[in-house]
Amino acid sequence: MEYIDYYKELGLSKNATETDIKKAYRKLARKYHPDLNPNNADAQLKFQRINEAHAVLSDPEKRKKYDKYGKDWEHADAFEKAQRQQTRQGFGGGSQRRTYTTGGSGGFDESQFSDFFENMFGGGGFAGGNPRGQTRFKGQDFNATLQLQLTDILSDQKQTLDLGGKKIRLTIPAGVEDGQTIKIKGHGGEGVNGGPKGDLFITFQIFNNTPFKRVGPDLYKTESIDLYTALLGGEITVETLNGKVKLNVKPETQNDTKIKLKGKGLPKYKEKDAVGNLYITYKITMPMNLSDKEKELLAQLSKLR
Amino acid sequence: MAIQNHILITTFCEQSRIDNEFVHLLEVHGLIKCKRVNAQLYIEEDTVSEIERMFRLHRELGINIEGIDALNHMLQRISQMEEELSQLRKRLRLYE
Repeated sequence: MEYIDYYKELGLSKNATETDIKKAYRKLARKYHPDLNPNNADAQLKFQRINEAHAVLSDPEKRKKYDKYGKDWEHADAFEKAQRQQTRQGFGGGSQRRTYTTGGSGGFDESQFSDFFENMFGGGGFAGGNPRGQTRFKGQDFNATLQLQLTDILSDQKQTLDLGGKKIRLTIPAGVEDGQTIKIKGHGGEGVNGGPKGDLFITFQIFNNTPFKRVGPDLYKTESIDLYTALLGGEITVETLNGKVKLNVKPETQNDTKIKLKGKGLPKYKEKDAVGNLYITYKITMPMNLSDKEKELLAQLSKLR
Repeated sequence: MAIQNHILITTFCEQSRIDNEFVHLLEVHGLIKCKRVNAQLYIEEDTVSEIERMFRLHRELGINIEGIDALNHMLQRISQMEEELSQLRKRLRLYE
């Protein structure tokens, strides 16, 4: 268990006044509030710690206890004794858990305060910092990751998720992006004091099991063509996600020529019948191990230019 | 009378313990849209989490309505820029 210097968390000295504590807390809360730092786990953790520090230091009784035992953390025996006594008597009263929802990026509650806090003050009591008493709070948001292959997102996918015995039927729209998160309302943790349930956030992790590179709904691939096909033109067969297609290579095709195969990309997310494109870049491969005859003919050819 | 996907503001305020006046101010400043049916005001269900978020900013950080409005704009811009950055990173990977 890590000893936490609550004064340091708030940037204060031990003789800070109540006003100093309030001022420091407000300043840091404005900086690290989860609603102002969506998807920032570091800020969320920092906010949790300054809340914890504020909850202790703004309560004179808790502050006194912290000042007494917190510094001399090595004296665990005395501390444990105080803790046992406190558990019997209750500290701060009530069993309300305080939940901060963070606009879709997951919330945290007092249960996520550090082990240090739990040992010092118990898990249930939180007398400070909640002026409204039995305020209703939205339940904790849950986050989950769902792994799919790129070929799985060519059409809508129906999947059933098992969330601790609770089954959720889910339709994953075709063309979902790697790293994209969708919200399933009301499938998070239970609300506090009758508050609404939290939400379930599912982040998709798409593994590319194809030779194509993906940018949004468009796909990119490099195709090798031999020198003679590039010079004289010809027909080549290329793979797409929907099967093989024949392509006519124009005579005198240059290296790195890019062609577009319309509608051969991925379905566009939530756009009915809209599909991205496949871009093929030609890479011309030079013949190797030329025979004497070939060298002779090429030399003749070069003299013609 | 219930309207689909809408909640009566008074019911919402009662359940969430958010001041009616605060919701009214949000509407006056154009931060939310309300619907008036038979002299009663409703909000869309999707607006609920937004109002709760703005109320948290107001109550926990002491930010006034104008400040919340400015923050909303900035957060929206950050979100757009993050999205752009993510797209550009993906494009950059193509050339790596």
